[in-house]
Amino acid sequence: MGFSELLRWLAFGAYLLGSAGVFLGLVAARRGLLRAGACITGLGFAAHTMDLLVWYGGGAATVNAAFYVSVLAWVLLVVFTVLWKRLGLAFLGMAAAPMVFLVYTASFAFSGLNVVLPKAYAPAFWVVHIGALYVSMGLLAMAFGAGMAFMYMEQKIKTKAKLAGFQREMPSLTAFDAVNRIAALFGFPLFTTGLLSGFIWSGLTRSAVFTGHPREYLSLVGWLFFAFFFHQRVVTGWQGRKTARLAIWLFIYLLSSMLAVNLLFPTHHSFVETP
Amino acid sequence: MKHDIHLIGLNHKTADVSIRERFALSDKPEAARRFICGPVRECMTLSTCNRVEVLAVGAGDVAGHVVKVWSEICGQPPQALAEAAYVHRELQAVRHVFTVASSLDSMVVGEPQILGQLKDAYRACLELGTAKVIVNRLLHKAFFVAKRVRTETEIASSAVSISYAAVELAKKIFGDLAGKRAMLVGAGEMAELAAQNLLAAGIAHITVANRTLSRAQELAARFKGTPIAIEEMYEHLPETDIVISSTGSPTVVIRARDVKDVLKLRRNRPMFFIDIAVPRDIDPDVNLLDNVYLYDIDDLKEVVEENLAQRRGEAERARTIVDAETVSFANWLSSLSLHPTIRDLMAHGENLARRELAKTLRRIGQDIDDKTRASLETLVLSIAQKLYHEPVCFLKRRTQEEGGAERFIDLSRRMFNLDRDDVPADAHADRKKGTDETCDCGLDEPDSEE
Repeated sequence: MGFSELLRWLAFGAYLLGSAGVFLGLVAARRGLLRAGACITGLGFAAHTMDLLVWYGGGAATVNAAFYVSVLAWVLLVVFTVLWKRLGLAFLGMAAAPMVFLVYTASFAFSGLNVVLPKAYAPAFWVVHIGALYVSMGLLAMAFGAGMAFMYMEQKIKTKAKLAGFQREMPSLTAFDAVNRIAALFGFPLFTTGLLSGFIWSGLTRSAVFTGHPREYLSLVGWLFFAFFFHQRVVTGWQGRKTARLAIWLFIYLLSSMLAVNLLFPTHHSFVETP
Repeated sequence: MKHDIHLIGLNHKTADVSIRERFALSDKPEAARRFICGPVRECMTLSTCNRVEVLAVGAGDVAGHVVKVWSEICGQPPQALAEAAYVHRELQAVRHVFTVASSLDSMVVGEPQILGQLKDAYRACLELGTAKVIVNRLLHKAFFVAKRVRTETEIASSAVSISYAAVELAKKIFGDLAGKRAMLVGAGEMAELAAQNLLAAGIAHITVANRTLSRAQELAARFKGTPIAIEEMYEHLPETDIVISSTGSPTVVIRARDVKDVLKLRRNRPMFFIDIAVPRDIDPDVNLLDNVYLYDIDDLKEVVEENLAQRRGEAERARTIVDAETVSFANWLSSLSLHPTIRDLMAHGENLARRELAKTLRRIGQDIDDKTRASLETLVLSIAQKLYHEPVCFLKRRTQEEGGAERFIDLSRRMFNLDRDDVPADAHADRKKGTDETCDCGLDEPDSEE
């Protein structure tokens, strides 16, 4: 077993145990379990970071699609940590930790796909395209988790149901809604930047801004969906249940289009330089 | 010397208010000192609206003496007190003190006030000088038990009054209430209570809308709020987050369609309506609107009843903690005699010597023969025995004095930590700062208020 493989298994195991610990710790209101889960996830994150560095250090031109999905899991955890520290919403960990585990696990399924990146454009591509898209996805992922929690708690409060156990410990509806607002306010401009840079990238490498690939259509539909979410939240002033629902569906749509299209149509969006 | 712990008292379960008020000690601050004579060596009194209790430590007919003195202090016949009072002895008394401190014997189980009242009573008896070794230790332990019960169970985690339940719900919707604005529609007593709780939770401003403007002005002055006529209510609703309505109106005062318009002006920011009027003031359809939450008096009552039921369940768990701590106190009590203390002291010295010897031998390594090893062992054990010889002689002498046994035995046990108590790092921080002149019982710990 090579060093990279060891790191990957370590990250996989730590994410599995850590997400279980965080989830159970929050549900059962056991601080010790929550802390242990968070520490184990942190260990997984360290192994994951080292693996990505070793991977990337091995040559940017040889990274495969698994690498990109792995980076997405890494960014999800970073975004969660930032929101947790900024808003004090440890409860988002209940969604974030399992989500990171699932996306990280999904990255193994992409190991057969090759993605070749021309060296000259690599830094800009990484920062503008991948960076912007992944951070916006990370924000949406947190809005997804916060949205689910909001809908659950709001239903409880609206129907005057009894709040027991961990429900008493959950943050307020306003706190969950704040995550949704951040996702709309910062997520949409980032998503737009990521998408535009993708088209520019395509123009530079394939001499065609729009190639007609299904993924490009799906991305444009996703952008329209995101624009609607942004408009309703920021301009019209929607908040609460409606925007929570919008964020949930938007995240599901974007994640499934990102993962599924990459698996179903691997060759076209693989960034292989056209001869 | 024998130390019998007695607790004689009246509470809301055993004596009605007409009896409790006759034997109340709240207006007699020197009462504890009057009990210290005859068989009673230590004493503490606790007098609240729901209980009057005397904790007394001594030997002989302690209960009879307490009843006699108590009746004299209150100018009542002793028979009336003897008939109504309960008397707990020894561990039953200890368990009772722990139960009271943990709020398991309160009218509203889990309410936090009793612990503060107990701390006040203890502080008063320290000032009077009526608390000595047993009462000191018992009360310290009682505060510790109360803290354990509050942290290890959810006995005090839920609201058990209508007004407090409303505030708790508001926090579930808005989180921090700082900066939020509330409006009282009508000026009922319950709305006033809820407003007080909201202000205590940090609400920024209260508007009072009433049909009679003078009444609104009166109430608004109390809360430093703004009085308005009820007709102006809708103009102020867009900037209001929490509405508490309690008018005597026979018809609906706040309609759903009007709230819908208000929401547009608020850009859908959430609103919380609390309707404590009967008949109801707020159209129930208001709850169907997005980002609007409506609770009426029955909903709040249900929340309170559920919370009370939960507290009763938690009380069972709390009692197991009380039982365990009572056993631990009993162990300490039984160690309060000379011979076990001398045995523990010598064992303490011997253990210390052996530990240090083991460390030294490890440092030296294997280059040491058995004879030297045995000599070293004899040496350290002999030093330990000689070191502890004088304290033991001192202890034997002092325990012959009146009241000296408990005092010096307790002191020795604490000085050498023979009971292996955990001493927090900041245990004496208050003394270093010179802020607390009374004791180190943690009395400065703030109580959470309902």
